[in-house]
Amino acid sequence: MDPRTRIRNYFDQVVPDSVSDEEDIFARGLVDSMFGMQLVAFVEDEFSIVVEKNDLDIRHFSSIAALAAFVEAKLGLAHPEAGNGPPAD
Amino acid sequence: MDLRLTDKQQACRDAARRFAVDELEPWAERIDQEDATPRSVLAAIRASGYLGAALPAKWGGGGIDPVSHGLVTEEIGKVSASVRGLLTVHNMSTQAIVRFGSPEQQARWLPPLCAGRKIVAFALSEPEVGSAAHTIQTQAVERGDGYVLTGVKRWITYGMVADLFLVFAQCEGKPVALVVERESVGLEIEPLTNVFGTRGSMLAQLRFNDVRVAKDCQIGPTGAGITFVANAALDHGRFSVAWGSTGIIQACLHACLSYAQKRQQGESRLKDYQLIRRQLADMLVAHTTARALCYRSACLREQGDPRAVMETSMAKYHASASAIRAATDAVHLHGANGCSADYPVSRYLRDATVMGIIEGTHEIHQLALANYAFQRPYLQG
Repeated sequence: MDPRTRIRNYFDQVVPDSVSDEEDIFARGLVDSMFGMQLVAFVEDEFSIVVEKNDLDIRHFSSIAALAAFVEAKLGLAHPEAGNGPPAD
Repeated sequence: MDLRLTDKQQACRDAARRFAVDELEPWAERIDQEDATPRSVLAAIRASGYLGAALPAKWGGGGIDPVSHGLVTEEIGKVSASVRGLLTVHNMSTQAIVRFGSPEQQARWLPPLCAGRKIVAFALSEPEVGSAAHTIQTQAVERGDGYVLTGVKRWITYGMVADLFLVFAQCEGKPVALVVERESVGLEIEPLTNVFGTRGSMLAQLRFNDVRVAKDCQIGPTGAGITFVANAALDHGRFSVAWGSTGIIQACLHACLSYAQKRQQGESRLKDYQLIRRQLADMLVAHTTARALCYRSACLREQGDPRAVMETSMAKYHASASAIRAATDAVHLHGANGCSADYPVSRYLRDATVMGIIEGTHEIHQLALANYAFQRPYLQG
């Protein structure tokens, strides 16, 4: 299963409303401030990666698509054109 | 599922119990009454290794597992909630450096922090900002190769003795976390005394008057100060407060068992009155359930389970609320004696009340736990 699908499945379980892949769950007020650390723990546990201090950009964690791009970059699966930086504002 | 402690965990708990009884208990009332932790007690804590007990062995910490750390915290919290507060703020602030510090920052600060040679305090709250941490008003303005820090931090536990402060501020609207030295020019530190509970925790107000902080004192990237750095530290803080609250419940139960056994009223001793027995039963259940949630939180943390964040919130909420109820009952059970300084139960009640406020008020945890109730993974077991 690709990272985006695994992340979508997790969001389906933990975000208390259905969201599209691009929707910002923090901006929509669907999650609280503790959820950021929960997401960090989830991606570290699920994908056996380490979220480094320079990865701590809330935009990486704000949507399914952003988190999938972040995880794919960490796993070296990113498409060359996607880049490794956070999504643009 | 095996609920028995390992030999190592039992040894950890027993050693902490001996330390608490020998080094802290003789001072616990005085710490409360005099609004301060004596230097000799601070020296004993520094020498004990408990400041760095849960910090990485790589940097000189004890490297003990979460269950052992919890048991140590419960034993110390049972005797003195004030002293437990020192372990809490030091560990949570240092853990933020462990998690988010650069290799250079770790090499600079972790050895003295893990060894207890330096103490670090957590500086988030402000006179006008408590639960809404994202609205902090302290400003960090970039200037040259660093920041200029301006603002006021309040209710800083052990701020009167800390060598370093983990300070949270806004940098052009984005939160940053900065390590600030006590000796920094422009930093004024004032004591806050005569507080309701945890009176010996040497609270301070910090006033930053254009304090210069070097760029290499920033922990984590700009923008991550609250969501990641503060929240990660607070997660450790909640774990500690949960276990400390469990210690208060245990202290209440022990005090009440002893008093009910000895105290004669009319034809019977207190322990034989049915309504007293109900209070004792409620305290026993409160202690057992609080500790069970603490164990659950510890096990999930050990495994790196994503549920650990909210399970720790649940443990903190339940344990602190239960501690307030147990301490209220303990005061009632002691009657007029419970309202005097001759018995420790009034201190337990004042300390327990603080547990319901720090590291997230009951109401903040209720809101967060309601969100968690909508998550399905919490049902997994």
